[in-house]
Amino acid sequence: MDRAERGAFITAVAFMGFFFALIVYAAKGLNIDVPTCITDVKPFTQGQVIQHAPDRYEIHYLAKMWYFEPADVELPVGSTVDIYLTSGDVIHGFKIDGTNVNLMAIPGTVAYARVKFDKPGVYHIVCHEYCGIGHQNMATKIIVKGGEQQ
Amino acid sequence: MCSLVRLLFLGVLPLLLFFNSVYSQGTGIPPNESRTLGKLLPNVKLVDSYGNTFDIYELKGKPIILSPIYTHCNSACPIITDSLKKVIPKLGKPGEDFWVISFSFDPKDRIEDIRKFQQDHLIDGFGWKVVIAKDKEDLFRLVDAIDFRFMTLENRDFVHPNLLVVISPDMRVKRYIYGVVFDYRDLKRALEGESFLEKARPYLFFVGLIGFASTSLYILLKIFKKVK
Ligand SMILES: [Cu+2]
Repeated sequence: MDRAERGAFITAVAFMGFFFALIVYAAKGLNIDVPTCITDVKPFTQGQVIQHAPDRYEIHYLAKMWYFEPADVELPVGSTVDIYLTSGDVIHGFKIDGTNVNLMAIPGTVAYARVKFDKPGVYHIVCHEYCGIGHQNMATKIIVKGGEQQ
Repeated sequence: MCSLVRLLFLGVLPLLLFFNSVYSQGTGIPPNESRTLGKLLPNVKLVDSYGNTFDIYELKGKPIILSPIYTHCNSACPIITDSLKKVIPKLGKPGEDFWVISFSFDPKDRIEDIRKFQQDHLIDGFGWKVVIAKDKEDLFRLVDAIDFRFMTLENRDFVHPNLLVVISPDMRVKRYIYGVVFDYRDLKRALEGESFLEKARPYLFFVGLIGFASTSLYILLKIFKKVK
């Protein structure tokens, strides 16, 4: 085997090993949550915010052409939020900027992800799946308020 | 013909078993076992159906069969509880050999609710306790410790996975048993001492990693030799 060929081969394998290690680190070290899709439940037809405890919330997001229900949500900093998402019409996207929540709203199913808001600020949510003529206006936000500043 | 049989055994059967094990977990969001197994439970305060407050660590020394339920349930939870009632006499006496805890995860459940559940299901309330958490903080500490997640529906209903959690006598999460009806042999195995696989669990990942690294190294060396 040619030396350069051999070098390329080893570099490729080393990169593979490196990325594999990163994946393992992400799964084990950072406790990454995989989004789940619940398919055996009748999806809700109304968006709502449910508070279980001072720092525990459930938000049921209903995506429709071309808005999210509920609209802007205010939460205290440090909240753990279970996000459930479904669609009332076509397929929509759902991405909370600044977090790793990235879901699809598929009619007939409920998508799920958990997120903890450790930093105060405005988290914009956008639909990132083309869903029709009003797609570019389909957005909402979560406002996380800091405990001390209030 | 022979190859077809082999294909069935090596390919299709494990796949079927895999799907079967995935589907048997039922509705809701299944817990991430790799995050909780072997971990210590937090010492949460619970309230039983007679109104007694106690720390869960007061039950130390005996295994616990923890059954997350909610009292207004009229689908899975009563079936789970009835199945437990059939299975438990075969395993021993609750309170002496082990504890059974039906734990309501509904944040709105009060003592009246669990007392009604205890009486309706003819549970003694001592060896087999029906409990709620003392406060919301305790509730979510316990729920998180077993990675139990639920989705709220209308009329105080929830979507949740159907399972039992077996807690070891030293208060560690030992095993999950999925389903609504249970086989006493599964529970017996879970209550007995640790199996070899459970002991080896912390090291399995590293064994796999070493195996993966050495096989890939071996294959690389083989390729280099061949190409030369
Ligand atoms: Cu959209």
